Amino acid sequence: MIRECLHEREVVGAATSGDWPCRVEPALRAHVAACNSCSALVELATMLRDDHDALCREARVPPAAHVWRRAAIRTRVEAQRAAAQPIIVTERFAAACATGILFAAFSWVSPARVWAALATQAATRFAENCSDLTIASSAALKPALPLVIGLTACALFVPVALHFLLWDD
Amino acid sequence: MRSRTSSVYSTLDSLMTPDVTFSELAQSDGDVSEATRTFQMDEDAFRRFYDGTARSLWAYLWRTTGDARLADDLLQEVYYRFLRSAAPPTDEKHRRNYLFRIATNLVRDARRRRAFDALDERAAVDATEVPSGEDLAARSARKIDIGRAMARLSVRERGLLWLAYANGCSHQEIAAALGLKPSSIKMLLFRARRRLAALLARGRR
Repeated sequence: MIRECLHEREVVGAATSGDWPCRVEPALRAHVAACNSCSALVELATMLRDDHDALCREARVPPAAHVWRRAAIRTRVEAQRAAAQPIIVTERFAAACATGILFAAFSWVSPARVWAALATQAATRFAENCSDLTIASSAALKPALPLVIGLTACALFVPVALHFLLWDD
Repeated sequence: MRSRTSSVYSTLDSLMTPDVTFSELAQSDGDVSEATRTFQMDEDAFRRFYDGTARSLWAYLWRTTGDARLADDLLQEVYYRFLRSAAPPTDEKHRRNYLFRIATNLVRDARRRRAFDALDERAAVDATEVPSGEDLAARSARKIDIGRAMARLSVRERGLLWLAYANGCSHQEIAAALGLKPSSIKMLLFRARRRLAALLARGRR
């Protein structure tokens, strides 16, 4: 249970405003002298107020212009960072695409070659048997088609991806 | 001591929003007036507000963190966040409360991220220059007493006492600055006061 003296607010007001002890009513001074709670409060408040004043005098704060300019620069840099964010995301996406295509192309190379060789043999036999060269050539090229697409995509995307990846300002 | 200090500032880096690097500073050294359009205050108004609050705010930060360097960094951060806030109060008194609210939140964040676990009692009295001379001996002793006693209080208690008795804030203003219910301020302040008085009395013995 808090037992607050009726004059407490008045006393705190006087102590924190710097009016204590010279510019207060004699009645209040008399009360503080008689009241333990208020005298302890005045002592504490005066002590903290004096400490505050001393710290304010000794504080070495930067000038307002410096704080303002620093805040402005930081705002601008953050805006630039925010604006660059989609570009960074695109760059990373392009790099990921290029890597994926590269892997896909490499994974196609060896089986495709095998398929191409097999298909050529089959086509030759087919041509020998059927003497239909058009059908034979299309049958030979069909398995090699993904390889061609993969390599073309690589040739297109890798330089673009490398450009974005290595490009700096 | 050195390792503690370095850990304090490494955690402080993580506390702050990413600051400007030297290369970015060099790039942005030109006209930055465009960026200030997002601020809710013009430079002259800010200067007046800053001149009227900066020292008091620094004193508050210093007494609540007990670290002068941390107080310096937090001071910049407080004003930066104040300028970047979407809708700061227009009334001078509320602006001031709002500023102390930002400061309190930053101090609390710093504490959460363990930028300072407990105030270093020695740091709490050493960071500002204690005046020399016999006539100032009593003042210096009292300052050291307060520094040590405040160092043993919680962040909330330090904030409460400082705002109430050093800044002369009302209960409503303290509640607004510390994010507490106005009805609880009286009780909390009473307890904090009693604790500080006990610590000061113990220190004198």
